[in-house]
Amino acid sequence: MKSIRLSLIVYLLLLLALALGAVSSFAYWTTAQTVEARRQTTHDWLLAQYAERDRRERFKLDSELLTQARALAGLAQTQTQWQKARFASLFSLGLLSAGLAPAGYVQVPLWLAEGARGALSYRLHRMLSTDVHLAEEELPHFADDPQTEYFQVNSEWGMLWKSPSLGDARLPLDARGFARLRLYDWRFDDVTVAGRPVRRIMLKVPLARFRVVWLPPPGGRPPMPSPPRPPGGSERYLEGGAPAIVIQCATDLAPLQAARDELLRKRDEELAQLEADARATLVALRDRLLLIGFACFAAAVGGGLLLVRVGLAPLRRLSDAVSQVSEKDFRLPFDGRSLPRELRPIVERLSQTLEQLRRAFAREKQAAADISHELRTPVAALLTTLEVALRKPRSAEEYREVLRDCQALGQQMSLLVERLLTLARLDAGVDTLRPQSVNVATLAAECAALVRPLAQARHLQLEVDCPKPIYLQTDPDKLREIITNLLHNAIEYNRPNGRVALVVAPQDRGVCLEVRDTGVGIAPEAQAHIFERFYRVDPSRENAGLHAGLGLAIVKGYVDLMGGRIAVESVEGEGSTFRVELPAA
Amino acid sequence: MRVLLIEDHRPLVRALQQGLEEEGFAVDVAYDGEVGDYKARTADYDVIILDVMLPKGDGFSLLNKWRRDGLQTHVLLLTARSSLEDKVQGLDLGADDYLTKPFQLEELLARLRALIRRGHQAKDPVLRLYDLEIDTAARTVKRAGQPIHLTPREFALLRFLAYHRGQVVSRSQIWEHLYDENDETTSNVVDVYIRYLRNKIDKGFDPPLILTRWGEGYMLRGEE
Repeated sequence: MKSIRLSLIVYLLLLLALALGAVSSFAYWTTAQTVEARRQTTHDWLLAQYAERDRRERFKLDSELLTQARALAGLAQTQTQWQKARFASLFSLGLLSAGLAPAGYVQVPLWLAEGARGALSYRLHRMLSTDVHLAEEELPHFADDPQTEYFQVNSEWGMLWKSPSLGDARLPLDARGFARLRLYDWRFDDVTVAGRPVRRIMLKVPLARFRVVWLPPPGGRPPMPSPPRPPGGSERYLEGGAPAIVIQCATDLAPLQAARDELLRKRDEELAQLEADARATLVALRDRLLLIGFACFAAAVGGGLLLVRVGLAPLRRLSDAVSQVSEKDFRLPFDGRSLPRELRPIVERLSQTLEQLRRAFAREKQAAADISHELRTPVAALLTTLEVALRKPRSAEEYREVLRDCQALGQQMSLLVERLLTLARLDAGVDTLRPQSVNVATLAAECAALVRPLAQARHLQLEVDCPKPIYLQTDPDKLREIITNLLHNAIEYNRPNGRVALVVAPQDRGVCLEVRDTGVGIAPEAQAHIFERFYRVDPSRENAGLHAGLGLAIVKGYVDLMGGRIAVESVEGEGSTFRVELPAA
Repeated sequence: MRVLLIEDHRPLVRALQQGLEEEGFAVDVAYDGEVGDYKARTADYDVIILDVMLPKGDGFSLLNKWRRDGLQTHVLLLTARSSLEDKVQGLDLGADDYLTKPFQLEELLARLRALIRRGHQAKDPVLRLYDLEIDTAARTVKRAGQPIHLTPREFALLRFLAYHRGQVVSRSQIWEHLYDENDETTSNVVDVYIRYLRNKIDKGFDPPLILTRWGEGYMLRGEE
């Protein structure tokens, strides 16, 4: 993204969205866990509570049944009616006897009982003539509807009593079931009576109340000679002969079932409510988190824009300030110290660069002025000379003089143009080296010879110190230019009767040239600038025409091109030493 | 008319000096600012031609000092600096004219004449006096419609007297304005030239225009 503002906003919002998402997800997840745990706990608790209630209901029912059974146990009594044998329950015995007396399958036991005497007869009579009996009105009722309560008493002798609510049906109990129960023991089970499920208790107790009734003989039939007597004593003491009975109380399970169903329905309702509550909680939480998230996001968009705006304000100020910089005024129109610390290096660097630019511009401007001065003045002189000469007829000698003046002016301009072109070529990078093997000693001597007349004209002593030939692979023309220029300067800036020395010495893989003079020297602050073009230590010094501050710039350009180094050491008032180091190749 | 030329380029100075002298100007020369300053302050020049880039003190600061010190001489800046800023700066510092190099000698001469006219509050390049007409631009003189030929020096003397008509000008005043520093003549030469001029201007005409004030100097007759 190209815009800082846009990228900051986008990244900020992305970050915020991520953070919000993570926090919201975590909050939602944690809350969901808690809600789920609570729901599970409540669910389990509800289930347990309802199971307990169910169990209590059943327990209550069973207790009632047991109470009833116990009450019934107290109420049950037998009544033995001699000569009133029960047949139905002895049916199997009758079948057995069928083989002996085909027509009297019941009669056989009776006969046996009647015919026998003694203990067996008594026992048989007792067994056959005793009926179990219950006072129905004394029965304890728990249910509102007596028709849903069933009572049945079985004795081990096959006696049976059942409540009227049972109608034709009976509570099932076989001999094995009877025998399995121990005395005073009880057992609950669910059975079906007349197609209705019932809860039943079976309580096995010995029979406590025993009654013997002597019935008058039925009409027409001769009475029995005598009832069998209990062997050996009174009837009241005749025990050990009482039968065990099984009291069965049963109650219709339908109401209980209905209650249980209701209970289950309520439980399921509560469970459903619980689920719904949990879901609603989570939905509410989610909605709230979403709302908070959106609110935060919206706030962040607004706040972010503001923040970015505030944050970028110094940049905008800087940009405004930079846009006010022009070639006329290179200063940044504000104080960098009012900017944030992060921007200060930019401002400092910018100010430095602008200052350098300003100096370069000023230098260029100065250079343009210099060039125009250096070129226009000789042109003006040339034109004026010609104009004056042509104003009126002159003698031949006068014309010759004018022509000589013009020639000198032309040469001066030509030299200046050459130097400007040399610098332009150096700038354009089209000036290439044409290296060849050069004896620097010879070349230095040549250069010295070239400038010697000039030195002599100023009464300067020119010395060349180069003890032995030094060969170097370099461009001789440029090296000559370098040496000549430095010598020219040394002569030009020297004091009268001074010295100029050219020292050439080999050095590690190259050569070192030194040009020393005893001239005015260069001020320390000027030393850094002397290699800049058009720089002149004294901008209004005399004899500027020849060099115009270009000589050292060309020397520096050539030395750089040859891969060497140039340095100056100078003491004001004592002289300067220019030192050029050139590599071997 | 006496002119001070402050310029460091010797070939130009040589050519300019010759051209101006041939036009009847007395030309003093200074090759650097120091000498120029000294001469400008010690002699009475009609115009100073001043270069800007000079050794020992540039033209702008010289001009600034002169104006600050109350020097009233007309200054014409003659410089290679042609930028608008330089022109504005030069004129604002108190220069009366600004001419950039290279220039036409004719233009320089015309500007010098204009400056001299301005110095004498004269707009018309033709000075009229009785029946005498002096055309300072064409450098011609007529009396009663008759052209009179004058040498540059005679013309310069007449022009000087005409600019100061009605006033007595001393011999040395005349001499100072007609001769440069290198002339080894004395002010007596003025009398000689006055005589030449009388012969050409007054001889055969009436009234005589060149009057002599004994012990004081000379005067061109003022208004009727």
